[in-house]
Amino acid sequence: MQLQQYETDLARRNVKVVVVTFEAGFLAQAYIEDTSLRWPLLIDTKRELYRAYGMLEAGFWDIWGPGTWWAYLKEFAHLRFPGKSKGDISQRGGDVVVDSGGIVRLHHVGQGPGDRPSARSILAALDREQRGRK
Amino acid sequence: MMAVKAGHGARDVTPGGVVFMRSVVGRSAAPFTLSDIEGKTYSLDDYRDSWLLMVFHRHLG
Repeated sequence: MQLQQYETDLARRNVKVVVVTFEAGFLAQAYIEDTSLRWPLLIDTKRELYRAYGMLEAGFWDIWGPGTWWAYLKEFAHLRFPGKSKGDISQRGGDVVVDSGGIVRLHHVGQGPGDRPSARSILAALDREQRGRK
Repeated sequence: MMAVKAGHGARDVTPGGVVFMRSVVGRSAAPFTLSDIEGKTYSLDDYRDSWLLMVFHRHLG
């Protein structure tokens, strides 16, 4: 998980991280082992928290449109070859930042597999939000 | 819990290039209590002394 490389940067900003998934059991266990995940992996099988943040099902073109092919091409360029998915590929993902007062400060819903903010983008947005709060 | 529609609301592009939706920004976070695979529970209230980044995965497998 790319974001884990920035664990220190996040801690310096007093940001804790949880990873949310709708998948449980073997897939969740395998993910923790494969990524050496050090953050809590929270299981939301009913997808209530996903829905609360507008992460609904992606449409056909969100999943198979140009953005997805572009993302795959970038992976191939780095000699990374994603395997065939075993999960529900229509579920959207995203990122949400909540401040210490319980207020949502950042909210991103991925429009497809290739629509994911980089760790650096998240840190830049955090800096902007935290500066604005001071 | 509050509910919003995906893709709706004003968009906010940061200098870092990431697009964030404004639809729920500024509102109270949705409360949650969820468990990890070992059964340990986590709630939004556990993170009152810090900021919290929630990364929602599409699918794991």
